[in-house]
Amino acid sequence: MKLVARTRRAVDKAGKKIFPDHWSFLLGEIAMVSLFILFATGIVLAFFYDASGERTTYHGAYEPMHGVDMSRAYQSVLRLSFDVPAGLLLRQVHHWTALVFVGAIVVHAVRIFFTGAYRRPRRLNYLIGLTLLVVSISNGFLGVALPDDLLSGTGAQIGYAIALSVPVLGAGIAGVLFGGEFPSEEMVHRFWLIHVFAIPMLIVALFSLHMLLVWRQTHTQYPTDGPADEVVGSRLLPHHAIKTAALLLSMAAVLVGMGALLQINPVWEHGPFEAAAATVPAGPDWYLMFVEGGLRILPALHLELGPVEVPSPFVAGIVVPALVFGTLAAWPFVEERLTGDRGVHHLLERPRDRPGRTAFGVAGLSFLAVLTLAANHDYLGGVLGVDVMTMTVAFRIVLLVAPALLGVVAWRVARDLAEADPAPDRQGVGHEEAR
Amino acid sequence: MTGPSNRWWWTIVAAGMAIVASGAAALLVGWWSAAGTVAAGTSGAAAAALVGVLRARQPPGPQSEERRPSGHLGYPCACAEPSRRRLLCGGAVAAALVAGAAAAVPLWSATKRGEARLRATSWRTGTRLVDDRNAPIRSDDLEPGAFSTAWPEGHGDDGNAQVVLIRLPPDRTVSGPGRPEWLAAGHVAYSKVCTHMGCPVGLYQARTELLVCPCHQATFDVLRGAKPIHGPAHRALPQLPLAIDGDGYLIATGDFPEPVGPGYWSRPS
Repeated sequence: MKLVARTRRAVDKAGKKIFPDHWSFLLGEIAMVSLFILFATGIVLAFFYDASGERTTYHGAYEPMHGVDMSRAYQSVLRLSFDVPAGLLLRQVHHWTALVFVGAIVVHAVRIFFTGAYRRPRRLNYLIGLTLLVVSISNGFLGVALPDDLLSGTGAQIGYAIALSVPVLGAGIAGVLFGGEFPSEEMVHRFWLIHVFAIPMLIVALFSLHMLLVWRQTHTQYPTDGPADEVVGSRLLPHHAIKTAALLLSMAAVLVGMGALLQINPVWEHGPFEAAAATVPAGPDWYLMFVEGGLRILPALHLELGPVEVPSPFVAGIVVPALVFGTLAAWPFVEERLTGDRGVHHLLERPRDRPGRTAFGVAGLSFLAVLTLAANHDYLGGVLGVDVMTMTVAFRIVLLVAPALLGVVAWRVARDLAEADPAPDRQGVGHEEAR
Repeated sequence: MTGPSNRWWWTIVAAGMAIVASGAAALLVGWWSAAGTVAAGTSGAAAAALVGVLRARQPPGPQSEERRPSGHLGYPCACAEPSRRRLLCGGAVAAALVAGAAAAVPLWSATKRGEARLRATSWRTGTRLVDDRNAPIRSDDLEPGAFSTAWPEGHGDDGNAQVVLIRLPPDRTVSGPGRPEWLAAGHVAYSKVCTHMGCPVGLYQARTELLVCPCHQATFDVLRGAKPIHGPAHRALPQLPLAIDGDGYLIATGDFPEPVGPGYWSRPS
């Protein structure tokens, strides 16, 4: 009985936790809910997936593929799609949710960046969030490779070349991850273990830490919503919990609806992976397009240093992503240096009140957007009636000009907006008047 | 002013409409899609009902919670004291160094093993070239100007051994860095694995004698030893030495002179 009473007290205390009501605080929750849906659908998919590169001949419900030689992995995905009740539905929901998951993390991170939510004391939690983003993107890549169809095989091949390009350790890393030289029968098995076991464990650990720190450090809030020394919003129980439940149900509604009505990754159309074939046009899911775009348009820098070499995929495949995430990780520390502000901040800033940060963020986002578009430069060239070589050159110019130009525009717009509408007091003094 | 009871009505109406709409969509799109849309509709209706509950229970005004004193990081207090923090950080760094050192040895040996595998394919002296149905290729199977993909006989599963086999028009040969002495009856064979990122170099333009990779448009000149002339590749496609055996079939007279496929740190050039 004592335990019941103690639990009740703990729940009561936790239920009083305050969550801000501003809509932008829901973005991270969209990612959280997507993660739940990914776990739920992924567990069911795992019952039917056969993580084996062993060869077999297809005799299933999908007639056009009868008698075709393929891996057991691909066969099991065809079986899942055509023979297992609701298998295709679950697969499509899982894939759509993965796209939304990474998207929600990115939009959440954009909110965190532009409002300065990463400042002390939340620098560590910001780094954990960035790590979650990188880990989630990696798991998306592995998941797409699992069906072992022709499209995913082309993607895996490119991943292999990138892993191989790492100086000194490339051959080892590629060999360990891909189970030997590509194409390897071991690959889907290793990818599967990492996709369903290693990375999910890491995600759960990091996500728990992320939540724990939000809980202990309390939420930030906009200066118009409350003062620095208290959080204003709704209590976890019942108000915020109902809100989260409603979010879960409506996201489930949208994502299951998408899975039911919108086709995604029809693996039976691509056919099984064969080393001698490639599909065109081919591309990765949206969150890896910035890497593919770099591979297409960045000058192929190839270094030969006597007996050793750094092959060209290293630049777009490793250096660019490392620069992007490295810059993001370093930003809170760089900003402290630049502004000399090492104080603790619980109140968010409006993007217009920090034109420098806003301009930097806009420039970075446009850099990534141009690379993402460039991943489709052959398709875009076809639409515009321009040949691929010209598109490559055009994209190189845009990649240099657009971030600088948009950064300057963002800086001026932010400054003008701030002049027209001065910042509310940052320490919340006089917030009575503001409300 | 709409009262809570009024909002409840709207919620129920919206939920009912969602279920009817999803049922109708279900009839249109077939069985499992139907189940999915019904599930989606039900979930949406439940969400709408919850929003109704939320609105009905809206507290009178915003509530608040005090923050810990400014400057408190929210970490467990053991980490907050400078001396203990330094100790913990030092311990963590030391543990990471030990773990890294322990991982370095197996990773290093994996590197060595991986590299050994990268250097060779299944081609041996005398291996016949076979097509995608495992049939050996005769020296008169291809028309001049035609091309096909070939594998070493008995090793159709060795993706890194695949070659593009081209029969050049009668008056043509290859020049450096290509090896004209490795042609057999006008046939030249190059590794099909792109030296940029390993995609199959599957497009052959007979008119211009160019091979193009579909992935990143690397372009290789067939008559000049498959040297890259456009796009991101830096290395020529390795050439396979060919000959014709006593029965008129195409054979290899050895493995590729260098590793095929994308570059890596210690690739011999």
